[in-house]
Amino acid sequence: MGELGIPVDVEPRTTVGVRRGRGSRRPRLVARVLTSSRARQAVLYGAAGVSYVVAGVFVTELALSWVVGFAWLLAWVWGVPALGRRLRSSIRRESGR
Amino acid sequence: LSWVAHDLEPYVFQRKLGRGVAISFLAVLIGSWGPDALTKWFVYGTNVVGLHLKASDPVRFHRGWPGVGFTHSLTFGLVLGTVVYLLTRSKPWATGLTLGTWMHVLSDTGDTVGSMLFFPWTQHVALGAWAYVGQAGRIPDAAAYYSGLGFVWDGLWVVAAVACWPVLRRSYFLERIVPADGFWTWCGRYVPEDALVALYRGALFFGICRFAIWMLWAHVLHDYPFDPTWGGPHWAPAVRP
Repeated sequence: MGELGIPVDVEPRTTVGVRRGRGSRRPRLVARVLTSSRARQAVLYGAAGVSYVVAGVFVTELALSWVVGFAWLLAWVWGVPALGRRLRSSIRRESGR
Repeated sequence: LSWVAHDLEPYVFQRKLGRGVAISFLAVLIGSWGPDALTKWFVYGTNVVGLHLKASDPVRFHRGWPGVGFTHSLTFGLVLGTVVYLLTRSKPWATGLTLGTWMHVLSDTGDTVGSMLFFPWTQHVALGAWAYVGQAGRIPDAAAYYSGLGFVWDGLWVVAAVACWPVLRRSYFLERIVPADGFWTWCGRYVPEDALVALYRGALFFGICRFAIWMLWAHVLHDYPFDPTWGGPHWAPAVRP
């Protein structure tokens, strides 16, 4: 809650149109990723894949176990958003005090 | 032996043949992994509380008889499916396990050792396209496989699986995969939908990443020479039956 008792969003809902003209594409893309669940999922799957490949090239044991592969994907696609939600709610609680 | 092909075959199968008949995707995947899942560690060797466990004759153990080579046969797939059907009366699981095992077995005929397709009535059937180097251990096996025609074979499966992208959709999973198998409904009691969809896509993720990892590892991080000739790579200690 703000000083006047009006709820305050911790993070802006969207950044679309914040900057116009040059350099406006990036905030729009970020906003789209943040607001579209499909885009967010795609980013999470991509991040899981890239990080797994990078780690697996140097630690090949990671690439041998399907258990690790599945756990890695779940950690990114399920764990990271859950962690994000928990962090956001705790930040909201903190700012609401 | 094939590497990534076994991870991706179930998706291609699901796309091409899983339309009219109710088949458990999970059963196909287990069938596709099954013949190697319980045996590969003993082929490559492993350390358990200070003891090194490895088959004295890895090739015979893996693909031959006496050994567990019978798991790499079409007859084993049929027997497995029949036993599962008699025990569970589940056609989707029985059919899925049989077809998954068959895909694995047929895929493994591509190497220089091959598989005993109609065990116990036939001996090895081998196309001999890429070298079987399992007896040398995981790392030499990976290096050889991803330097010979094995990488082409796996690459084809990666392309085929990506081309089957409609089966990866959430809507497809919910409308086609879940109703065919009670496992997903049961699992859905404990984990959210996002996690279920990730589990369903997991083997594809694992397979494609593994392909990228081993290719980068063999040819960027190391310098194993490519030899995509029939029966290659010829620098590897290939085994023939």
